[in-house]
Amino acid sequence: MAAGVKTVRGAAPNRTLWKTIKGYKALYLLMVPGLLYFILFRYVPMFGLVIAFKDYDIFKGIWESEWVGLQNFRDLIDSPDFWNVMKNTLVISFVKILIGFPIPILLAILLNEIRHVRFKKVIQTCIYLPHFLSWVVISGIMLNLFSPVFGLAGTFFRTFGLEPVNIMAQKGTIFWVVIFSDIWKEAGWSTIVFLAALTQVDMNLYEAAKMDGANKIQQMIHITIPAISSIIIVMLILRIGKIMNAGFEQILVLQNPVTRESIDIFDTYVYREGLQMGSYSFAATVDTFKSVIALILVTSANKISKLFGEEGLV
Amino acid sequence: MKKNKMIGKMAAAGMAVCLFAGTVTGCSSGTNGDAPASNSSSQAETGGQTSDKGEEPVHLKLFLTNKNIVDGSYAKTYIEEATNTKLEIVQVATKDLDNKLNMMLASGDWPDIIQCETETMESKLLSSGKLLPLNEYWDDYPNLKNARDEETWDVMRYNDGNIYAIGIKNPNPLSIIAYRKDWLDKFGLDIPTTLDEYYEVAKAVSKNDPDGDGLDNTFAFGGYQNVDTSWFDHIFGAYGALPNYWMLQDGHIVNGSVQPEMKEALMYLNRMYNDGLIDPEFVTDDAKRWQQKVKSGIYGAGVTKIHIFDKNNWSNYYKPFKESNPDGELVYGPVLQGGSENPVGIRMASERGWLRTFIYKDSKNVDACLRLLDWLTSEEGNRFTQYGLEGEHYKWEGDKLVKLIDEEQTNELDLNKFFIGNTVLFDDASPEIFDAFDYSHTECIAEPTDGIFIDELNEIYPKLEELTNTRYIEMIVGEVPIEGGFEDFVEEWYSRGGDKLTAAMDEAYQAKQK
Repeated sequence: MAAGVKTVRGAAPNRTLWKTIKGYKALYLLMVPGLLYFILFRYVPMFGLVIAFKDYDIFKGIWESEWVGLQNFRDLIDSPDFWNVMKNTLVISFVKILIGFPIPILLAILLNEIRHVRFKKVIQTCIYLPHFLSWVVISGIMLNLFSPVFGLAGTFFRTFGLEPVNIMAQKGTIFWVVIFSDIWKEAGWSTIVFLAALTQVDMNLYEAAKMDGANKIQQMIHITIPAISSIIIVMLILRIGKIMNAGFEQILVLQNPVTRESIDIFDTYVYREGLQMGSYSFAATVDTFKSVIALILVTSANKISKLFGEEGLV
Repeated sequence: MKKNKMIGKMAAAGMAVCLFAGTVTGCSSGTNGDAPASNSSSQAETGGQTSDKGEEPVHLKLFLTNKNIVDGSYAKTYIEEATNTKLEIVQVATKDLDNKLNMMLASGDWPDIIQCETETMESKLLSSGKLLPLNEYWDDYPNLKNARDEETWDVMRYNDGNIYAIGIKNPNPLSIIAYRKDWLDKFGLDIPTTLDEYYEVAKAVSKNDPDGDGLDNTFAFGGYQNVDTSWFDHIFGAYGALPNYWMLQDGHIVNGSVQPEMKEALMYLNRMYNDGLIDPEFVTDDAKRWQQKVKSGIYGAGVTKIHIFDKNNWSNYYKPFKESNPDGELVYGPVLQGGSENPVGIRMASERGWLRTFIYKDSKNVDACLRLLDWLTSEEGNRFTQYGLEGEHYKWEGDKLVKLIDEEQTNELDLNKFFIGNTVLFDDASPEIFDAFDYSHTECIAEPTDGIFIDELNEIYPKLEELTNTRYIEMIVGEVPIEGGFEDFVEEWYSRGGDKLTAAMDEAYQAKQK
């Protein structure tokens, strides 16, 4: 798609649009399914957002329901849970980026240095395998593993003469359980993109650097990282765009009465207060609010990256 | 720059990967549990029992809790033939019932027959004006009318005077305070009658390794992320109130959660928790896991499922329990004294029954809906859905029913799966269960507000119930100190709408008394 857009821009201005399209019809044809997908599943449903400004009653339907203006938004901000949810969403997302974002890059660089192809492939497969497990399965495994009575963690604590702790059920520990289980699950998957980028780095650069006496660390700092910096920035911007999504499925399965408030995020809040209780207006309100913030974040991240001379998204 | 372009392409590829991943995960959630009916099963050719033999079977859409009923199975086909219907059953896990139904209704997709579990959903449906008043039709459907006594129908009556639903009739309550008799005997302890005695028993069953495996893996009791599912009621009740339960105090309705006595109950529970007498996993366990633990017999003193007393293995509790504990034996005990001058028993379910079933008023086939309900609630239909046919699946030995097929076969035939307004039968149960039922009636407390529906109940109460569960559990496990913490909770409970709700509840109750 990116290539197609570039060529169109380069086309002579006196040509009509239709001619341009005709000229690149194969490319445009390729674009159609994607475009349809976005129109059908992303843009059309957006009209449903009007229910954020209504008191939506499922028995009356969207148009018959009463307009309430910004009342839903006021209710959201006045809600006693709002600031807690907002704080949790941002903190969890931010820490996930802070710790979780550099790890795939590091992994990719390390993997790239492995010369034994077989070994490299095995490691790569092993680390991205957890990505394909669903959170429900993982939480089941974790509950059994960290069970203070029947699990490995209990045995571990007892062997060292300590009182077993249920790390899944303590306000203090659950935050780190969230962060590290997410990294464990997703780090390997994100590594793939960086690994692919690394294969494109010009080998001559390394040879030249070696001739000049640069060691591995210096090569990494002065060649590898600059070479993949663009993709790092792009991935970072994309990641920032998702900052308001701190991981719905994961948090939902890791929540229990004790930990609920310490890791409650917008999505789980919407699910509980909105969907489970059938207040769709409220759910739509929270989602609209979330999306607006995410939009602001992603555009400013894009601007900033351009300021630093990187390519950015658009 | 050449390289820059390359990176641009890489970025595009990267994005494509991300988008693709997003699409895949987006699709994966959703429609499990649905079993849309296919037209594969045999139609009513073999001759139904109904008079309108010649007519086409009527297509009905049912929204039910998930029992894994399979299309074309023996029981389903039999019911379809008997009622001249073709059933399309949308089956949803009980905890997702509300969620899924909300979405179906929001998209205008009304099932002909709807089942719901929570009072929140029930209240919403009742006030929508889209339900069929059963009482207006039941002169033509006597089985349905006679399925419940006048008293039950009275509780079912909505404030407009109509009856819209029929629930599943179960013994009530379905839980009982029970102890492991073999463990009591082992330690030479008696069935406790006071809180102090109970503490000794709880300590013995959790700390003295009653199962003799050398591991600290037995407890007095456990639970699953709630304090309002009756598994803590023997302690709360001993102090005179039950959390998330409406009670009568000096002629007025109050909520048990915010009664001052609960503070002492929480302290008692906190002490138990700190001494390791309560299964610490009650914070993270779900109902399934808890059930497995009950069946494996690691809990020795507390409220438990009454099902386990049936030696004929009702709901499959007794057999697995006996398999892991060949010497295991349970005995029930009384409400504990010493906490309050007026201790109460354990909570009861609504007299309206479990999983209420409604008929959609604008359904094109109201008659077929009623016909189906009428047949299912008739003696013939009720016994068939639970046990099958006489001679084929069961036989009578005196007044005792003996099953001729095992559980696996029952399951395969889809028997004991159609829980639609039925009365649960105990034709094959062992005498012990009836003794347990009798005993449990002496130690339970009914909710005075049963059958009252007001808007506040629907809007405020679910959030307060969740708040109670959260704060209570925090205090029991010691994440929040009870001293001060309980007072904060009471204040929070009232300020989040509890005062308004209590007043409205009391008003509705007083109005109903007149």
